[in-house]
Amino acid sequence: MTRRDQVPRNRIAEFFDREDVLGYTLLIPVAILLGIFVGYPFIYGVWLALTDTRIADSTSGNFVGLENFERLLFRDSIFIQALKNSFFYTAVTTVFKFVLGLLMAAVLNLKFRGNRYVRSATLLPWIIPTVLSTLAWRWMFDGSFSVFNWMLRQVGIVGPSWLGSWPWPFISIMIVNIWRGMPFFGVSFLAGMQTISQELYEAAMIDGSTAWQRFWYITLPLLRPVIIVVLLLSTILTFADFQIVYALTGGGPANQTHLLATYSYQIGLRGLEIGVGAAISLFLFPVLAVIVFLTLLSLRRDD
Amino acid sequence: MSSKITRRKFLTIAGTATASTALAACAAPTAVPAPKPAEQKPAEAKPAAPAVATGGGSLSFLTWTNFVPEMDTKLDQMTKAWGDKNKVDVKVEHININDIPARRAAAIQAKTGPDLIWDSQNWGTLFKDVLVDVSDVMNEAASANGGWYKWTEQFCKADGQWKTVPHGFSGGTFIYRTDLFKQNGVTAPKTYDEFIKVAETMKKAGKPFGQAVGHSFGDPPGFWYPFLWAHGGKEVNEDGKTVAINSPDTVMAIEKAVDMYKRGFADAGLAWDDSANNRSYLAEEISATENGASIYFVAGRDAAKGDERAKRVRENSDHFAKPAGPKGAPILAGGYYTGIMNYSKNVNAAKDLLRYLMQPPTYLEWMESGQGYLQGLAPKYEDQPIFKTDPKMKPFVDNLKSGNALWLGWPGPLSAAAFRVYNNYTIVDMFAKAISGELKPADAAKWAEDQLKNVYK
Repeated sequence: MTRRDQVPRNRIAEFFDREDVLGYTLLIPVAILLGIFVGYPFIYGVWLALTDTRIADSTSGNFVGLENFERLLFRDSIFIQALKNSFFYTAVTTVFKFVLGLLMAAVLNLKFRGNRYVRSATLLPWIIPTVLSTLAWRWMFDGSFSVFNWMLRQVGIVGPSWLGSWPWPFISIMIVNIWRGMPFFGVSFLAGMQTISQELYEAAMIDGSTAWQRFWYITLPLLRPVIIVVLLLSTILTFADFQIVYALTGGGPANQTHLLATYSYQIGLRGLEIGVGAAISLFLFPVLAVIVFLTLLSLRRDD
Repeated sequence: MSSKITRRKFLTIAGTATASTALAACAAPTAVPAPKPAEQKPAEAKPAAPAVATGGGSLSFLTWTNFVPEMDTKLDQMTKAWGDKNKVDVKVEHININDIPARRAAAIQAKTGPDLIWDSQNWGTLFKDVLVDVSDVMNEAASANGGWYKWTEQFCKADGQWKTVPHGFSGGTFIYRTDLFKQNGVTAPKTYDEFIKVAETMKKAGKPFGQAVGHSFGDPPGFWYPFLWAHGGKEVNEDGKTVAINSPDTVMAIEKAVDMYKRGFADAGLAWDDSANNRSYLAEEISATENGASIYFVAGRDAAKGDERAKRVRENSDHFAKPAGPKGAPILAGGYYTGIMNYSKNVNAAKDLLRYLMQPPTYLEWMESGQGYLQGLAPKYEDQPIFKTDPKMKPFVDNLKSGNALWLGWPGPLSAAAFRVYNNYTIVDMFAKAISGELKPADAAKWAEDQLKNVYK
């Protein structure tokens, strides 16, 4: 044994030479940050959901078990409406964002003059702060000054009350969500498409494949991992959407456009029943957790 | 087990962490947690606060964005002048009043934030545990202003202490187009039955009435609570506990509202907030709407700048008082109030700023900058020049003197539950659900009953 081997520093070096040790060690700072900024609020949120806590009410804060959930499920029709809205909103917008995003990626993947500028421009809806762009949409949907209705009037059509008469308010929030979310899908798919080897396409062309066949048998299967990750993230974020609805309709008219996040805000912060608000926020957690688990399982199998 | 981390393994761990983080972050409450009961101590002015006499320190004042911008400008000027004189750095932040509850909740939990907060209704009594006793300020101000309207006490006082100071009141009247009414042979209505007939006539003439039924703090509750009361409906009994919304009177009021909306109102009102009806009236799309004097004021200001449409609107507008129903002509009492948060490090300076703002010369100067948009909450200000020189502003003062102002949760006490119902827009939504056709009137009343029982328990 050399003298150098006996130096403790080397034992430390050897210890960190093990990749599993080094890997987990490097993850520790992030884990601490996540624990503070995500873990603690989450656990506190779970606790709040099991209490009758009301803001600035010293008589509240008592443990009530699942009473908040029982109230929401059986005695709160707005919650049921918000729950249905959340599922419908997520399903419809995700389908549109997926299809349009795929189309956008396919177009942007073509070589044409000004390609880079177009790619940058398509990201604008994603880059602009949501509240800012939603306020612009609100103006476009305004009952008195809607630019859409003005255009419709020019061709003799009376436009709807976009934010006033069912189902237009709900359609309006979905339009804005699709407009805003589509670039994320498009750019992610584009990145995935660019990693697909051109040789595959060339070989297929030599074999006489059509464009549709190349898309269906080459592009789509090889994009699958990207599609799964994008759909997963989009589903989670769309379920938890808040800003678009808050800025566009505030959950109205008559609570018809509430999603779980906006209803949680209304009950928890405006209505001051923060325990019930936390219960609303957490309601979908088990469902989403299962979705995440199954998706990640699917990704591992792909590997 | 291999100690080697493969790319796949790393990606799996990182991917799981990312998805879990996104999920947990999304599932975590959007709202901030509330303080633990044990942490909520009765408010006391912290002795550590430096007195203004010594100067220094800073103050932040969270207030609304006034519908009459000139009042904000004046408030900013006055607070700056006071700050300069007393060497206190005063920051006044104006935000949409609908966003104040969330900011306040976050501040209470974090025990830091604005030293002074402005909001409407009885928020001071609801948050009494986190507000400083401002009885000393109010006693001085009451003496200087000749006393407040008696009803303001229930909005500001809790446990015998003044928790907020009253700044003003607005609303309770309708602005209407005198020229359009005249052209169509109608006059300002005195009862809701007349109101509906006039609205119907005006809608047929292409200039309907407009009324907000959306989620916003002012006009929607300002119209629909009194409409309910005027027809005999009420959310709760005198005991303040027994929910009484699902009654024949309420159903009748909802049926009437549906009929009224269909016959005489602009459809867009279902999505309106407190500013949308202003825009619609100023654009000459509607002929009447519930409003403070903000439309009248803005039309006058823009007319002075040479805007022809604004000039036409201003010259041909007047106000009429709330119509009467079978059970009278109530208005929704309320107003705007400012309190000092007990976490403030500069309570003495905050009190001194309020003293300054509530002294008659300052208070009157600020009131006059709004030309009657806000009415002072002391009888002394009924004599404000604007109410004498412009007869079109008289209905606003008549409102305050009428004694018809009822409070949230009437005929029960002005309670925390009533404030939560107001903030949840339950009464407004009850009407909106029927007007939009989502529920039949009887079902809307039943729906409201279910919602109210969740709050009054």
